[in-house]
Amino acid sequence: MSGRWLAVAAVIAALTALACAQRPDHRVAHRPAAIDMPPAAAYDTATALVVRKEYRASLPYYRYALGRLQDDHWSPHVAFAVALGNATLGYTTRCGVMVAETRSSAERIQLLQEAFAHFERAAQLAPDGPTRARILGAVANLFFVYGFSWDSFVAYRQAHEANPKAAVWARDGDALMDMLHDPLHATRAPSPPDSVAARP
Amino acid sequence: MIRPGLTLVLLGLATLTSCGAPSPLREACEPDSIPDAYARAGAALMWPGMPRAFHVDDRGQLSNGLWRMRFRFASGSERAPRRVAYQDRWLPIVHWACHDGAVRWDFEAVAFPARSELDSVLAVSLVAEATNTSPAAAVAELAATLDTLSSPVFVAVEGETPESVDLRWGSGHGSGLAVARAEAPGGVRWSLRPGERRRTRFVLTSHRVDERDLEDVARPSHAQRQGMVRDYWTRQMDAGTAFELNDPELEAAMRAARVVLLACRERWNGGWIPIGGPFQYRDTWLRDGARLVSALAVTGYTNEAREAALGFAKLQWPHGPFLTQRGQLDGPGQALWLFDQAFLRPPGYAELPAIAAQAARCWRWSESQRDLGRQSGWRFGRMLPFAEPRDNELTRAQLVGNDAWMIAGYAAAARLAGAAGQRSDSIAIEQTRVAYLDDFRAALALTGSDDVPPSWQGVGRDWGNIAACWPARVLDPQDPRCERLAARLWARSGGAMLTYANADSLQSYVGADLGTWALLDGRPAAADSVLRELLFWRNASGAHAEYFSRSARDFGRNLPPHPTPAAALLSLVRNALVYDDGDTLMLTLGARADWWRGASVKRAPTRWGTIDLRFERDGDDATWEWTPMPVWTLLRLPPGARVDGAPAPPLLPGPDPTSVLAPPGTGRARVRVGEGS
Repeated sequence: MSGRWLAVAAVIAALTALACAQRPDHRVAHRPAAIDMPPAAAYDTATALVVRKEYRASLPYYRYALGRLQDDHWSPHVAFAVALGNATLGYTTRCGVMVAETRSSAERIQLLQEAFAHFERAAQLAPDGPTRARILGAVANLFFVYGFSWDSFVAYRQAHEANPKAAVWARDGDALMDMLHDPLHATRAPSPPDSVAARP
Repeated sequence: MIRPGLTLVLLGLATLTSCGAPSPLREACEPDSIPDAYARAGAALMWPGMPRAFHVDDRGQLSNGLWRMRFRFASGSERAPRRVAYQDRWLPIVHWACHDGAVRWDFEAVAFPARSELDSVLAVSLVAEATNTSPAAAVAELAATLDTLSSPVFVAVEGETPESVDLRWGSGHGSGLAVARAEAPGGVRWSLRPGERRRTRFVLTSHRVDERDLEDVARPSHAQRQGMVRDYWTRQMDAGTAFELNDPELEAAMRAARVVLLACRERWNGGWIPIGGPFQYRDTWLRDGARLVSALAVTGYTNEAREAALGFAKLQWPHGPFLTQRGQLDGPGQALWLFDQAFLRPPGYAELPAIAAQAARCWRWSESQRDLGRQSGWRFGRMLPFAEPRDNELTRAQLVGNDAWMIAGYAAAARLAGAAGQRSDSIAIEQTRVAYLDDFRAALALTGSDDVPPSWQGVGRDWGNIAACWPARVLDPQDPRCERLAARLWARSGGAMLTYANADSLQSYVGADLGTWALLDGRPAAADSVLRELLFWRNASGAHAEYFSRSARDFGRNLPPHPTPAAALLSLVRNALVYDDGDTLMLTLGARADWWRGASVKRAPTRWGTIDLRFERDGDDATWEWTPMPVWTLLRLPPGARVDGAPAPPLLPGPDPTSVLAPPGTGRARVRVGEGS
């Protein structure tokens, strides 16, 4: 494992582990009582949970808000999609043992299927190239994390085409191309994504 | 570290005495007489579809990954059983025995759904029977304790995590939630005459349930619960292919393997999905689930295999591939392969067009990968990109096994499309398979390896690359690369079961594919070596550990059962008798000499229909009777035998003197055999 990739992976894992290990077991507590609040408030609740890296807990609030917000704006779809993706990577502790926050890979794939549907919807609603690039960058990162490196590479390149002024997508695509070319010795890796949880 | 929970040490009167009592438990099963290859005893109390299981460990404790029940005896200490065994080493009626001075304690436990098979609560009925084995009176005392766990060997993956205060015993007439009920609340203390025996019963559940539910669980007697469990599993065994081989150990091992496979499935999203084990691997991996589906399919569990395959069908990514765990790019090929295994054997699955369409989407994804790689012009650009499976390969590289599986997936997708009437897709997929295969061979030549390396870069542990020989069948069985790969791996391990991390660490299934490869390459003795190792390295419930120390015979925290070696054992035996993955039905490829005393296989699904087979050697005559199929059938002779003279029409000589060929539609053959070198 190359140094930078190792560092990126370690940071993501450590942040996730740290954020999750200090929480009580959420694997049965994710079904909140019926949500009864204005959609914007539900969205704010979801965003606050995401800030605390409680991705899985945020999902019901995002679902509630997305089903009720009057304007179909790109950003809630991306925020929800990113939360869904991050929820598949979360860990928690049970009986002192670190375990995946999700029940199984079956649940994880189901969440990811939902995530990609929202990325797609967000891309349709994107008003301009930079927005579209940001969405594609998040898609690229999720592909990369799950090991779909060619798909990730294509998404990075598409992000760069959508916003040629932002150097990050070209840089990440180049880094991934190095890994594709020489997986044993490549020293660069794509950057971890920025948060994209903006209020609508 | 154990946190103290509720301890019940009440002295109760016996509720059953020897007079008129049932037969001693040890008459049904003497657990210490059942072989166990491992140093650490243990068995699973499990049931298909249930999200939790109980583990009976080497101290005779029952744990569900969140709490445990343990027993203390008159001496005030725990007594470890020597064995924890399934009855007859396959039937999930768990037996263990502990000796407390002159008193022998026999335990028998069965697991079953507490309320309904559609519910998630597993119940256990357990009896403990004390026998005074001395010529003098003796006191038998048993107390049961409930504790929560901290840093346990495995953790239940769903549901609430109760505190120790929540682990209540049911009172028999109370209300509220509880997890266990004792016939003699809290324990027993008996003064036993010489030879006298008494028993008491406990009931426990995998989740906290209402006391009234516990009462319902306890209402039928233990004997009734045990009978129900016995009937259930016997019916399950009868539902699959029947193997009558004159080989009781093997037949019991196959039943035990089927129990593991059937129990390693969970209900999910309105269907079923395979899991990696009832304890520490309670999750879903395509690399294990594919083997489970295939083994169920080839041993007559068509519905169960298809239900599990449909579970995987729901896991397709929006852009086409199947993948359950990060970086495990063997998943797409394995998914298509398992669809082929489940839905085309036997033919006639009604919903095939939808499955074939999913397979075609996955194929298109793979072709997009290959196209990008082709454009790169890189040395191994036409192979799947690098992967980091975070599993056994221990590297980040382009893994040969990923491509081998993907090529197998192309073959499967072409078959599925053809069977579904999607002719143009089938042809297109097959054309790309041929091209992919050419690229694979060219890449192999570029590696400089004379066998099949773990990765195109050469690094990593041997893992998926073994599948290139079988079941992916990317290389012909006679390809010298397969022979050299097998020779290298067997030499390194010093046996047919391969090493894992070091020379002392054995892995129970990674090398099992070489058994079927050996069958196809005309090496039944080598295949039998693989089978012998799979049979040997099992515990007293007939289950395999995934990997373990050869010298210490210890699997550490990686508890049996693991479904993949169970699948490997079933697949190998089935392939030794009935093989149908090509265009020729092959029978008795690896039948042992004992089987030739007269054996039969009934209700074996094949690609051309379900068949029965009977074969026998009587002196110099080998005979076969089987359900005629519309394809050529290759018949392999008994071990060490060769065709004596020309086979009688309509039979034709086989590719070597140890086999003959029967034309399509043939259902009976007799061949004069002689001993050959």
